[in-house]
Amino acid sequence: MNDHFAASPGDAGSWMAAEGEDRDVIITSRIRLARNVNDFPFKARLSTDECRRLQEHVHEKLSPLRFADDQVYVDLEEVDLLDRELLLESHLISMELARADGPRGVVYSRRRHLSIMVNEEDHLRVQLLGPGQTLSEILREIEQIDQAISENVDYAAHSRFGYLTSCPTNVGTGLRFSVMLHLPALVTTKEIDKEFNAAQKMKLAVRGFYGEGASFVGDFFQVSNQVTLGRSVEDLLQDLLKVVPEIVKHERSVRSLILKDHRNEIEDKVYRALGLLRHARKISSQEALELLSQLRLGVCVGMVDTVDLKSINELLVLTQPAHVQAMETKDLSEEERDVARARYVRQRLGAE
Amino acid sequence: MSFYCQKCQTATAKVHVTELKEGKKIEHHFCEECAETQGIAPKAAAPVSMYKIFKELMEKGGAARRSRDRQCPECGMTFSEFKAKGRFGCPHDYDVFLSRLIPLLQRIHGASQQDGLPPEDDRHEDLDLPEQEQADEENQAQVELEELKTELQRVVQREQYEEAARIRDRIKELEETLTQGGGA
Ligand SMILES: [Zn+2]
Ligand SMILES: [Zn+2]
Repeated sequence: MNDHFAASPGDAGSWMAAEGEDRDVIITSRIRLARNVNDFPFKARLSTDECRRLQEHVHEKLSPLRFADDQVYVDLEEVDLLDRELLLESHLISMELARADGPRGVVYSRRRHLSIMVNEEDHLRVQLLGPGQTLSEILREIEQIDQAISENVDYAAHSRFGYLTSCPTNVGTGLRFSVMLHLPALVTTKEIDKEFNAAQKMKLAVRGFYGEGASFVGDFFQVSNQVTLGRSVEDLLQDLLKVVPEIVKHERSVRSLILKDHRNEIEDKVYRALGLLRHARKISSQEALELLSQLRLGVCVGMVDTVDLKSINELLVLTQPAHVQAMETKDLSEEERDVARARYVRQRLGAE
Repeated sequence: MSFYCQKCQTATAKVHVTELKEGKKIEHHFCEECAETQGIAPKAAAPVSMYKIFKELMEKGGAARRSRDRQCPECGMTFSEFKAKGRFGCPHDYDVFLSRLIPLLQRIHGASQQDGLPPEDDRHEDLDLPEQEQADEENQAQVELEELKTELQRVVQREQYEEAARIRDRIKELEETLTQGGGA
């Protein structure tokens, strides 16, 4: 573990804080901007030398700027795989940035709420994360960051289209809002399909947060805007501010309904999850996700009061493979990692 | 050390594939199950995967490629290359392929210009005429078919299978109307 990353490997990031009145359903909010630098071809047409030149250009222009008091710049070619995987699991860099080759970098905050990726699919990907439903707040903040960058970097833009992006699915505002939600009751009752359809009509996408498409794990979902052209940022925000509370309401009403009709079943599921998490000696990251999801429901409906929501949110991040590895000094095999994960979960849940 | 499967993000990656793309090495990491659905190391007598169905569908369309293919003078991008990859090569491509791009943007965003501009009717001066004529002389269904196949490829790459299934159905529908009507 080198000192590039957070001082304490057991830190999950400020945005997993479990804050806000909707914390029983909403986990985090995120905004991502796609921007490109004028006079450089897009990523698909950049040679390795041009990639490096772009990276140096951006680094030079951004380094005098203070986006956060704890910001760090990392040249991703120079850090090892474990650090890159940690950044990936913390949602600070994308899969492509973590695992591809070539000149690329990231500016991020140690609190892990901000990242600016360099040489992703677009030259710049700016991202802000916030705990709970904080879209309006982080929008104001990311607009200031965007403004500060644009005063130093010449963005590729078009009078008709707005911000130009490497893929036309992002052109215009280049902005993607997303809210991560925990919807165990809607999943159990298959009511989630209604929300998929309703969101689709509003041109919003609902996707599994862990896993993609139809194969999701742990009942965590992400709602985001699909459209980036022809609508103002404010209108897109309003769409989400309209739809997300509807989903939250729906999830809550189904939670009380199943609690009324199937209390024994739910209670059994929740306490089995708690028992496994507190006593298992080997847990895979997928199993941990599923059990944490069930336990989270139990805590939210007041069934379990010995575990707090913040610990569960943090465990969602900290039980991922690179985070487990980072807490250990020697390189672990998959089995050793499952053992270390189970041990860590037991400690966090106060079982030993 | 091994990490997550990049597809499902949850199971441990056990199948590691290195792809050579434009001289760059790109590593892929899948769990056994996802590797199979991706068509990598398929087990014996595996059911035909969604991925393969889409792949066939896309390749069928790839053969009927138009010969007149405009090229961006700045980066050398052609519209067929863009359609195959779903990524532009440089900012100029938005002007070079303007008339072909407009229907595509309409389908993706329900709009082809940013918010706050006057209605499209007042904006004819922006259209590139030779490109526009070329698009007009094509059978409209044929054009839509090609665009849909690009979009299909994009969503399959992103593993958005529900969206892919929707597009695939529309492609089938269009292909049927084209053959019934005697084609373009
Ligand atoms: Zn997988
Ligand atoms: Zn170009």
